[in-house]
Order: sequence, then structure tokens, then C-alpha cells
Amino acid sequence: MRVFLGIVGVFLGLVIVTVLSTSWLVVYVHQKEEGWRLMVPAPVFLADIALRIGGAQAQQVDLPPEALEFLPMLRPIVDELAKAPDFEMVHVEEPGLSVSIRKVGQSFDVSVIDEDQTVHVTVPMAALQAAARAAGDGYLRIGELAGAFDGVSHTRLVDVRQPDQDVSVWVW
Amino acid sequence: MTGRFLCTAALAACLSLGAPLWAQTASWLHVQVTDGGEKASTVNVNLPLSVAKVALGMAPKQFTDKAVEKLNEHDVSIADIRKLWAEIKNAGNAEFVTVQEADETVRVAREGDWVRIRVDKTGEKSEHVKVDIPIGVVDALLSGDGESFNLLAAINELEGNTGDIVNVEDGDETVRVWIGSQGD
Repeated sequence: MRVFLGIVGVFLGLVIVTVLSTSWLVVYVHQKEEGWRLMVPAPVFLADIALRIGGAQAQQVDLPPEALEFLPMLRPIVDELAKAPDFEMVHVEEPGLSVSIRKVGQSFDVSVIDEDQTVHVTVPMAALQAAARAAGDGYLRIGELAGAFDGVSHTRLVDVRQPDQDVSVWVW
Repeated sequence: MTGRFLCTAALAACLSLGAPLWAQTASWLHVQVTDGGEKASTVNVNLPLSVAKVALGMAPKQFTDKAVEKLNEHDVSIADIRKLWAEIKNAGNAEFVTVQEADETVRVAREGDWVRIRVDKTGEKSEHVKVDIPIGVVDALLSGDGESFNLLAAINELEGNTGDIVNVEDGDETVRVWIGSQGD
């Protein structure tokens, strides 16, 4: 009995350590009109498991030839950008719309503000590098792309503020 | 423990000192497009030239050869341009091309180390184009073999220059392309 409890204890310990050491994806939705809030936390490695269950079709996405042509450029460009200091790459300003793409640390921050909504998206460079690595033989390997977020932590990936609802996606 | 802490602190100090230095010494490509019309808008693009170099170095051949294709459509080859450029360089400071029409003037001239192109269009929709290219950049651009431009060499050459390269004023719209430091 002690041996059995010991094995169960070690197994549970391993599960807890694995869950705590992995990155978590947290989706938060606040529907203002109806007044409800939803928070869905999920370990990033679950995405990998779900993709494996989904079979080969879920694990890869066909890419248009134009994208395949330019994806190999992505990695060296991101490598080069990683060396640069923080800067604003693109800024668009027109009545009722402001768009900004900034390099901040090892991420790109995309911000779109118009009259109805504010959208902030953070794209870790690691994810772009993974996209370049995940592209091969005419398709994108989703598993490798999902794995890129496993090394990212404490980052707000998406933040959408609208009059009727807010949506945020975090990696913890 | 103290040694590791000191090493980390020294590394952090070097990196924090290095970033502003990088910003000051590296060349940046800046593009600004403004539209002063009804829907006034401004677009600013800033990019380290080193990134442009990497992109051009990796660009698919059909992408870089598009300019050559355009020239070939007009029966102009890169070999022709190289010959013409050699003549122009030997001629020293001079105005090589002057086209004067009722509502349009085109001038291409060499002034010192610069090739200056000016297009002035008057009339209902006026347009002013100013292109200033350092001679070294044209040399580098034409330094490739066969029927291709050496864009990478041209970007390398641009790194040593600062200032405006292209200015276009087209009615309410202006386009400015220049090389400078990060904050320019």
C-alpha cells in the first residue's frame, strides 16, 4: 500500500511540476452589455497534444507559393532586428485611425486605435522565428509554431478593447 | 556568487551602453509619406539599413530582377546603362538630360559627388520630384555582373551617406526618403 501511495505521489508530483513549469495561455473575455466574464486558462503543451490527436491534417497548413518564397527571409531579418535598439518601425496616422508597429525588447508591438476599438498585439520574435522554421515543403507545421509560445512568459499577446466587450490573451 | 553578480552587472552595463551607441552609429532608412488632402494622413517607416541589407541579400531572384525586366521592356539593357554611366562619370559636372515641354521639365545632372534628377510638372496637378543619388551608390549598383543590379553593394554604399535621397511633391501628397540616424 505504501509503495502504491508512493508511486501515486511521485506521479502527481511530476504532473504538478510539469503543469507549473510550462507556459499557460489565458483567454479573458468581458462581455460588458450582458455583464459576464470568462477566463480560460490552458497549458500551452495541451495545444501540442490536441494537434497530435487531430492528426496530420491538423498539424500542417498549406502555404501559398508567395508566402513560401518570402518566409526564408523572415528568420535572418528577425535576427537582425533583434540586434537593433527599440524603435518604431511603422507609424500611420489618419483621421480616426492610428497604427503603430514597434520593436520593444524581443517582441513586436502592434497597436491599432480607431474610433470604435483599441487593439494591441504582441508578437514575440521567437514566434516569428518559429514560423520561419515551421515552414517547409509547402506547408506550415503548426506544432512547431505552437511550441514557440512555450518559451514565452508573462506576455500579453492580444488585447482588444471595444465598447461592448474586452478580449485579452496572455501567456503566463 | 559575487563574481557572477559582477559579471552579469558588467554585461548589463555594456549592453545598456551599447544600445545608444548602435543607434548613433548605424544608418537608418526613413520613409515619410504625407497626404494633406481631405483625408490627411501620415505614414512613417523606419528601418535599420542592416535589415534592408539582409532582406535584399535573401530576396528571391525574381523580386530583384523586376527592375531589370522593366528596363528590358523598353529595350534598355544593364550593359547599355553601364556604358552610359562610364561616359557620364568621365564628363565631370554637367547636365546630361534636359527635357522641356510645355508643362514639364526634366533635368538629370552631375554635381560633384551627386547625381541630381529633377522633374517639375506644372499645370492643374503640379508635381515636383527631387532625387539625389551619391555617385558611389550608382557605381555600386552597376558593379554587378551581367544583366543585374548589385542592390546589396548599393545599400552598403548608402550606409556611409546621410541626407535626403528622394523628395516627391505631388499635389497634396509628399514622399520623403532619407538616410540618417535612428532619431532623424
